[in-house]
Amino acid sequence: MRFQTQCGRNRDDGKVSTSLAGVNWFGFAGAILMLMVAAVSLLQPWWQLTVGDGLLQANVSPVNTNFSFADKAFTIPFVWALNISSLLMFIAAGVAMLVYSFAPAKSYGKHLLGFSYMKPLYTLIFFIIGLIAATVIAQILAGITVPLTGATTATLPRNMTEGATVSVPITAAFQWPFWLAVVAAGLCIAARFYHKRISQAQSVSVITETPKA
Amino acid sequence: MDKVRLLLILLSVTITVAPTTGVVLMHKDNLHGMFIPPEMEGIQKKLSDGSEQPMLTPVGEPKYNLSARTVTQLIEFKNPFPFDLKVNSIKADVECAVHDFRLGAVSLKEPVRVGVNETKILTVIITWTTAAESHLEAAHASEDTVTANLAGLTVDVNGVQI
Repeated sequence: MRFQTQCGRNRDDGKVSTSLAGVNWFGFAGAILMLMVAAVSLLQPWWQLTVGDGLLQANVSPVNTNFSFADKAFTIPFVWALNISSLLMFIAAGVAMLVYSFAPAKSYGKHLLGFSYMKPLYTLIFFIIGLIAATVIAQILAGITVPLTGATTATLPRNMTEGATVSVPITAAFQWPFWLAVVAAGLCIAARFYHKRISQAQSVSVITETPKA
Repeated sequence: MDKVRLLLILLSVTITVAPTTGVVLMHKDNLHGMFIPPEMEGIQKKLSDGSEQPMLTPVGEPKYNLSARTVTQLIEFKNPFPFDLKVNSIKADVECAVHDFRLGAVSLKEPVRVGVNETKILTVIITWTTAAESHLEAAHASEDTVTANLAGLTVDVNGVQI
């Protein structure tokens, strides 16, 4: 009798032989980028807002958000906690994706992939929703139009300035780690699509002779 | 491999909950501080109480330069704010108070950075035009003093135009 088994499910000895051909390269690249994004985002924001000549600056990313007002830097403790969660989640997802990419056919590979592949996309979606919400809140509460990207000059409401006209130049822009995160999210989703194909292609035949009775 | 799945779920929950719980516990006596840090609160208080306003005091007599048609006036500026200020520019038109006739313009000689609680001297230059001379001769020849207004005064501080 002959039967086939997939690499990673070798029923004979439980051992798995993984060759480079069986690596999910999309997952590998996505994992490396995820870990890179986590590291660089500690130093470089995803989105930066500048008011005046650096009078107020907001450096925003899911893993590190800080503000500076007239060269005095500060963080918001609640946002800091969310950042720590995001950072740990990003690292965990990156490591899980890295382990998965070398063992896509293993029984736990699917769990690792399921845990990690959507994390960068969810992070991006929540980040953009957060930014849009913040700009809408600034518009509603203070009447200030904050652009997501580009430059504008906002005039503060007169009730905030005791009747004086106060114009504030505001510039905002997405920084390169944001785009790196977009690429990481794309690669992780590609890894999910590639998963089926690679696990099928990696099938190996194990031929067993049935002992004659 | 349900153990792996369980471990990953546990990891997700721990990562999501632990930092927030930690911060809430750290600020349990002052939950307000979770959202507004003490540094910001200090600045906000100092700005909102309005007790300290920037002080602008003229220093000495104005210096006239008839050939260049300028008057130079030194002004002492005290920064009461809890942060550094950079006065980039001062711009205004000088107008005859009676006739609204434009006599000249006011400008700052050079940008000045004023630290916290520091006092610096701003050099303000007032330039008058030949048309202003003609106006004064025609409309105010008999007067010793002419009242002038500043119109469209704009001060650029740290890039913010007031």
